[in-house]
Amino acid sequence: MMKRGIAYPILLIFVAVIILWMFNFMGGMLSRGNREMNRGIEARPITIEQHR
Amino acid sequence: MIASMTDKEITKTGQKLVRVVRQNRKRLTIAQIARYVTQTVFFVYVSMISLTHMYGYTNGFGFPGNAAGPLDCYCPFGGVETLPTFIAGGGTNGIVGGANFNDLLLLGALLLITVIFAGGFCGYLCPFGTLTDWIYKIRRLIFRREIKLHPRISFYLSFIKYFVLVALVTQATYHGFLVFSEFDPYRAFFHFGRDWTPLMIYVMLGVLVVSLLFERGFCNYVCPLGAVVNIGSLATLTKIKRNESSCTSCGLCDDACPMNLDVSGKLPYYRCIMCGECVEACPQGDESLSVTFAGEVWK
Repeated sequence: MMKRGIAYPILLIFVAVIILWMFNFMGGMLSRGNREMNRGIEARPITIEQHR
Repeated sequence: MIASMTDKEITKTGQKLVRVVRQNRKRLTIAQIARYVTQTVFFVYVSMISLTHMYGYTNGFGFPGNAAGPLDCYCPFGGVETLPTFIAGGGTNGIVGGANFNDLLLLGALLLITVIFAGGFCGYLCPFGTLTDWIYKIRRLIFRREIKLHPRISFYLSFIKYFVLVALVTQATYHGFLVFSEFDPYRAFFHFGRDWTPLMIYVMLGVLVVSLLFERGFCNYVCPLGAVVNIGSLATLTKIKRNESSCTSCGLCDDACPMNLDVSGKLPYYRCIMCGECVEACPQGDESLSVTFAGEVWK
């Protein structure tokens, strides 16, 4: 009787770690987002240019 | 085979099956351990990000480097809330206040993961889902009684999350900021008491009560990101497949399912979080229930 293999969790973890690594790679972008957030929530949409 | 058995033989076989399953369930399989470890790692990861952002590594919290963004940068639901505004802006401007372009990237990553791995995000990666899992498991250690709704009632209740999703996206688009962040239980919990408002505390208490009563109750009935994952899962390549010819309809998979799905009946694959508990519980092994990718069994 075969039970569930571990290919699914291993591949899922692999893909998730790559995505997280990509996001850490964009640390500078997150820091800029951080500064935006620290200014407080603005009650209007802002442009990507403003984000940058 | 069952048709040729007497009632007594069927009862005996059923009892034997239950014994075998209980004995097997005492030992965790590698797949279950992999899931629990992944859940814990992601829970710690998100906690560390939040602590780094709020207090900074220089104060002894979180990651070295002191450069973590706010928690909103790590939530794909921010991407869902800002998506209509972003599309209306022609894809060049229009991020609602409080959201971040990263949220849209994360939403894309989430949808990609969902198409490949179905509800694997909810079952393996979501730190808030992990928290509700832990709350329920601790409750079961104290009060062993399990409360299971009928799958049909559970099915109807699961529509609440779609209403929550539509309401939150509409409000975010109308007001131009992340309305949900005012009372988001995920955001509130991972702020660990900082800047909590009475509204946040009430919502968190509500989530706590639901999680204590029903396993994955918040994910199943309320979570708006769960609604997005469910919609994405309609196009998924990974599904739990039941082989009707070898299934004895013992119902052990139904009992094991944390999402209260009718696994032995009309399996609603799009609501599955891919925890694999039904497959582990099945006395027939993968002859009867298996995790498949485009029709092929995941090894």
